[in-house]
Amino acid sequence: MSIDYALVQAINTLFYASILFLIASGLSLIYGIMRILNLAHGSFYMLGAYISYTAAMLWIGPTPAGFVAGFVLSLAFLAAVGALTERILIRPLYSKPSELQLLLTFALMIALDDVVKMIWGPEYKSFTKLPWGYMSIGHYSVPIYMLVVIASSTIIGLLLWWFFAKTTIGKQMRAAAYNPEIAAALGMNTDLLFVSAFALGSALSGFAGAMASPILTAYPGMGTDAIVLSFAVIVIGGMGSILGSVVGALIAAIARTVMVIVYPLLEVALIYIVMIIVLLVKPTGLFGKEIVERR
Amino acid sequence: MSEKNNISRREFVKIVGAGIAGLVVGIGAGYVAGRGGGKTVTVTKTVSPTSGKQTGPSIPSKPLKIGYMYFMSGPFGTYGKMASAALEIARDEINSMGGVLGRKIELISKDEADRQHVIDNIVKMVKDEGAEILVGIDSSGDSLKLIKTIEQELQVPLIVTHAATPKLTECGKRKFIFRISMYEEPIDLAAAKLVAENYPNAKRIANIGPDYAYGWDSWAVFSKKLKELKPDVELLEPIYVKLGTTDYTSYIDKMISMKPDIVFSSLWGGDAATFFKQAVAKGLFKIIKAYINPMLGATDTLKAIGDSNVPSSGADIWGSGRYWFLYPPHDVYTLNKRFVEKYRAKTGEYPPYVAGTSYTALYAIKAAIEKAYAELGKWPDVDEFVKAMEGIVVAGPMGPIYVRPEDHQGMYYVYWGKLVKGGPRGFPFPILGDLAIYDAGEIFPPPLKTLVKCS
Repeated sequence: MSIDYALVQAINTLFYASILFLIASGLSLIYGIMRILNLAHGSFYMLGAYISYTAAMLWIGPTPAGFVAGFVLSLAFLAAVGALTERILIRPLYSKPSELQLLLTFALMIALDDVVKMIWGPEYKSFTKLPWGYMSIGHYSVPIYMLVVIASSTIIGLLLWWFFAKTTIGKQMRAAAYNPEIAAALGMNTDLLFVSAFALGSALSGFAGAMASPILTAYPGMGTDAIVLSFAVIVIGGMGSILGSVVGALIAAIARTVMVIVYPLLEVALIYIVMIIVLLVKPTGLFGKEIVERR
Repeated sequence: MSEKNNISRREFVKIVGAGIAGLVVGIGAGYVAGRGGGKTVTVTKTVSPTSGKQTGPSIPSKPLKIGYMYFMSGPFGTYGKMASAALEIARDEINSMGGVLGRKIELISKDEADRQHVIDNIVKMVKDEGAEILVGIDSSGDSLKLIKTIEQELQVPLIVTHAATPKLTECGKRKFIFRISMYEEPIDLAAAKLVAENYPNAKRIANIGPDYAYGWDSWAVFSKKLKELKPDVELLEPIYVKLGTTDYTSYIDKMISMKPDIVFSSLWGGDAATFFKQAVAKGLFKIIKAYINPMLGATDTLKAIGDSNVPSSGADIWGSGRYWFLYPPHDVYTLNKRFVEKYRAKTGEYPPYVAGTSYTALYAIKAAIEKAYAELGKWPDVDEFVKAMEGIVVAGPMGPIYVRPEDHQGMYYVYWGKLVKGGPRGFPFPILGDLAIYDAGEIFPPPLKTLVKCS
């Protein structure tokens, strides 16, 4: 294997890991803080993809400005969708059995697929161009766009770490995650914390969709594919752990690329095999803590 | 390759000619003849089944119920919607001309996306809802699964218009199943010919296809034939990917590292478009001589690719399909022109290949019934219908199709076209230009022969 080849494959891997990390960290964050497994989380990823498509391709054009507008818009829109979802749909179910939350978010997932088909149609939506040009590595070519995605995802990861470690609201979210009753008794507004956490997690997923779609295209059903894979990622990394999402996403992406190069038949399966092993050996995931069932 | 065929090109032309002159009663019936018709088709009327109502006890008075099944929802739902729009156009045309021997066509349908009930729903359409003839089937797997039900249980004709596995028609003669649409093998064989003839210096041949029977069979047929025509080629290890893969970048770089001259790919639909765009972004088309995709000539795929992804230099990009809406050219073949216009008026889109083949299926049914009527003087029973379908020639938007009696497979030319930007030519998506046409008699394997393993 030449160095050029290894390098481009490493970039492909990091690109894939970046997208997985953004989706999985949002899912993990919401679960960690609120103990809600949001099955519609992948559909938020899909909505992000379509919104950035609309901004970049239909409104502004496939220029750098169009793409950046798409990213910002997806982030903002999905934060709003997340907040509304928590406020209107999820909150009434907090005191109910958790199966109901699963059913509700599952229903939302299916409904959003149809909403997307109604608004944008059933076809694949393609970005016709990538911004920022290409870089040559030997006789390989790498879109600069992929490097931008990797950089953005890294920055977001660092921001998330800073947010939870250093800011008051981040610390409060962790406190509320640990014990919502005591957090409330100490005067924290847990309602506000929960809605913020849900909005943040959803925005991350929407942003992931916006970043991914120019290369991976947007299509109805892409959310389902994404949610299944992100489950594997957070099960491996550990539910509720941001570091776990980083490691889980990297393991999933590396496993995939190695299989593509060495033994493509296992490309899809390997990550789930890893997931099964992790579940058997360390059910809380590599970086997960013991999960305390609430309620 | 023609020395291997039972039917040579000349014989094929003769058969088609004879079919058109003698056998077909009203190709596209009064439609072609009545409106000036296509210049390539001559219609000989031996009865006048289209004008007015038929009388007599031998023709049932109730409508002719035709049941169709396509994917009407889910990820492949567009296929069914496109096909059913075309069926409705054909139905309305035929009914406005008086129906089939006076019987109006009534369409009923079931969704192939109802995966658990494909067989049940076919049975239901026939037994409960009274479908006399069946049309459709998108999935090759479903078409094979239905053989037993159709042949043994229902014994009702099924005209397949999309499913393309050679196994349906070439691995044993079916009695009630016909396929009007082009199947995989002739397209792949023509692809081998295209490469051998146009790229004498190409040596290293790579493949990326979907990881199921269609992907494996396409590469098997193409690579075997190419090796036979051009023994100096080196077949690189084929790559197969899961259906619905969205990130091909690692595969593309792997492919680039294999230094191929030609890339053959049977990826289709959204997968083909996603792969294509990533291949452009990753510079694959700069290092190879040609990219060959048997499913690229599908309008939905071309739309998803978009003009700006058509490389202006580098590899030749070749696509094929079952019907290309610009061929035969509209100025010489009015039937195609009119079909495209009607389809656009109804749906706002250019017709995809599934529209062309499903439209033709209704006219094949009509032609067979009228042929039988001309011979028997009565409405045909199932066996008589089957006999009439065998050897029939029917004109569709793609031109005349000859239904080979030996295997019930519709025969027509295979096209391969080079991808060009559609914008400058007045189309909202890339189109196939520079068509290479491979005559059916030259390219089809003999009946019931296939390079694909039947078991």
